[in-house]
Amino acid sequence: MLYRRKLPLALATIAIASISTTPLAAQDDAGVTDKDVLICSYQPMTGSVSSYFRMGKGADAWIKHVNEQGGINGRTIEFKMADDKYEPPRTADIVKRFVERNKCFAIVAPLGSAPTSAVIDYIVENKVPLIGAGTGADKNVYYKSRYVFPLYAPYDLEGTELVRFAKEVLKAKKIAVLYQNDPSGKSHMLGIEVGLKKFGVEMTVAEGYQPKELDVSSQVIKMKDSGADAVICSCAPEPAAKFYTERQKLGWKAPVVNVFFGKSPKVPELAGKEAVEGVYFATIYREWDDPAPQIQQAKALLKKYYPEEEPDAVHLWGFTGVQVFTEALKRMGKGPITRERLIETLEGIKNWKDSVVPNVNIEKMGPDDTAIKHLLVPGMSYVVYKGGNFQGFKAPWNE
Amino acid sequence: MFGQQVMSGLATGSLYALTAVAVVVVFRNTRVINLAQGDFAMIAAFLGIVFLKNFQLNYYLMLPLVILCSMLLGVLVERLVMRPIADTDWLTLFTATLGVYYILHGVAGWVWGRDTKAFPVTFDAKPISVFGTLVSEGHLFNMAWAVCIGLVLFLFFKYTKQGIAMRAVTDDPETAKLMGIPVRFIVLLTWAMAGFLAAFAGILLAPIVYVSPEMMDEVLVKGYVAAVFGGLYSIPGAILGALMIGVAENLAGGYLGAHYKTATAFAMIVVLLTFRPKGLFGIQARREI
Repeated sequence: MLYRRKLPLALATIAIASISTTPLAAQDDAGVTDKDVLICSYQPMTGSVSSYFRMGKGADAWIKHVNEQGGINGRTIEFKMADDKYEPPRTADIVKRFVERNKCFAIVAPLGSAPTSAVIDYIVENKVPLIGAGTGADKNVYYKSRYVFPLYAPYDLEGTELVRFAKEVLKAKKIAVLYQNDPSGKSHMLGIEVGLKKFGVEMTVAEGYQPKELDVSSQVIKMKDSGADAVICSCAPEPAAKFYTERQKLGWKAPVVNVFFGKSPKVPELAGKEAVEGVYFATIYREWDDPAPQIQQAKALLKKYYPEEEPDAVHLWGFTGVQVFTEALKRMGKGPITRERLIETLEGIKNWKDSVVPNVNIEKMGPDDTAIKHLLVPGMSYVVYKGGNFQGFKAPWNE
Repeated sequence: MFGQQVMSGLATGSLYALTAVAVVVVFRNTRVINLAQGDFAMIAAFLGIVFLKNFQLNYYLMLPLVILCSMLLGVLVERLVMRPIADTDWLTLFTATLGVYYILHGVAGWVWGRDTKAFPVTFDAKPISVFGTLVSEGHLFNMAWAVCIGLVLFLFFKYTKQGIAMRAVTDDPETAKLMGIPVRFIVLLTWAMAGFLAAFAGILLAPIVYVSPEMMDEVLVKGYVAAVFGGLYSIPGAILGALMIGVAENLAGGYLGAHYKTATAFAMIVVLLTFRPKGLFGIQARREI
């Protein structure tokens, strides 16, 4: 009897409780509390391409600064980084943990084409925003999802531009290519093929290398023997350094243009300044000695939080993703912090000039568009390594 | 192109040779495949940077100090890790070296950071022409060292008292013990020798592969393959195996495509072991792992 009388009461209580708690639960998404927002990032903290961990350090420096200033709208940012060694199977494990166990609100400023290609489907399926990933691989940049905000232009477009550079600046009729045998290198190759047809340049040989390859001598000998009069090096800093050392060893003088992700002070440091003298590098950021206050602020923050780091463009990749994220969070104000609102806010960022990127302009994606509409860093320029420094170089079509 | 590919392959092979020889030396006397051998060399390379940059020593003062530290590391590993489990089966010993590998990786990353570092260049970067092919001074130096060390070790094992004692321990530790050979000391000496070889490998390889906690990972794998190729007991076999793998990789890279480079080394070992299970020079049957 007692049971009969109390059951409806208990059910009613549960129903009321669930009704009253539902709106609260829906207010903020996973990873958000009243005090903080958890964002996550996978980085090659160790391994053969660990120099790219500068991206994580750049991002971390900005987050530390934001938190020191009191956070955003009363919330601090917890920035969780994990080491995937640039090994896609590890990245897959890490991202699964980020999403399912850590409940990360967004994945911000992670690094790598191959790692991102391995996890982007999973991230998007789980409706987690992926902001400012350091990848230009086709799959990641042309991804059909509102949740993806790529950092920079796809490598295929860069590949086409580099053929143009080889023809118009290096005066090449025949080029040889060294590329990383992974999604980044393959995307470059797609663009290079387009460029060859577009600019009437012949490719004598395209040699691949594995990211962990000990030496690239066999490839360089073959490239030299092919009679190419210029080289496109689609190489990360460490393999690029090996290439320049080998090229010097063979006394090969063919001019070289290197992709932007290989532009690093590590290259002359490892290969020796003489081996890199006169090499052109694509770049997507202003140089560190640019007087722009945003660049000088980034430089100061890097010095403050990572004093042992020599400022490098890769640090700025990290700054970009987190700066755009914190700006969006700021614009979201005191309202509920949800992933949907984050995406809407990000798509509303127009002509924003307060980050290390001169002008961030994120477009709204239509149903048939790809994530290229969400690019954080548009455009590309060039530098040349001369006399121990990277010096600005204006391509004729940029003047 | 053929000549240049062969010369560059020999240069690469000489990188593998020092590690291959060290793998053989330890295996001969302890029947342990030392997975930490590459990391001994990595620690030596980092120490080289410390002595050259922080203490501003010159190359010829740095080298003996690094050798000393590296030998000490070998001795410590033997005393602290391997000796307490010396009577266990080969799998336990093998796993222990894996543990040492991870510990040294972690310690190096913690102390010196994970970033790739340049080793102060000690050789002229300009190429030298040898038989119409080009080779760097550093690679030439490595090749010369690989041959010299191989020769010295061969003479050591053949003609010195300690070397002969080591061979006796290799053949039959129990009988060697009964004959009055201090087996424990010989094992200790073996690990010190592993440190000695690692010091050379680390210092010679550092300018070429650069310095990072992972710098020797690939070299260790190829060095191990070369050691197996040579028969695991033979020092000349290990050197020959290393040089053959280096040349085969380069020729495969040059004529078949870069993707076939690593596969070639493993294809070679599979083919060789199919027809000659004890490797090139592994003539005598011994207790196999």
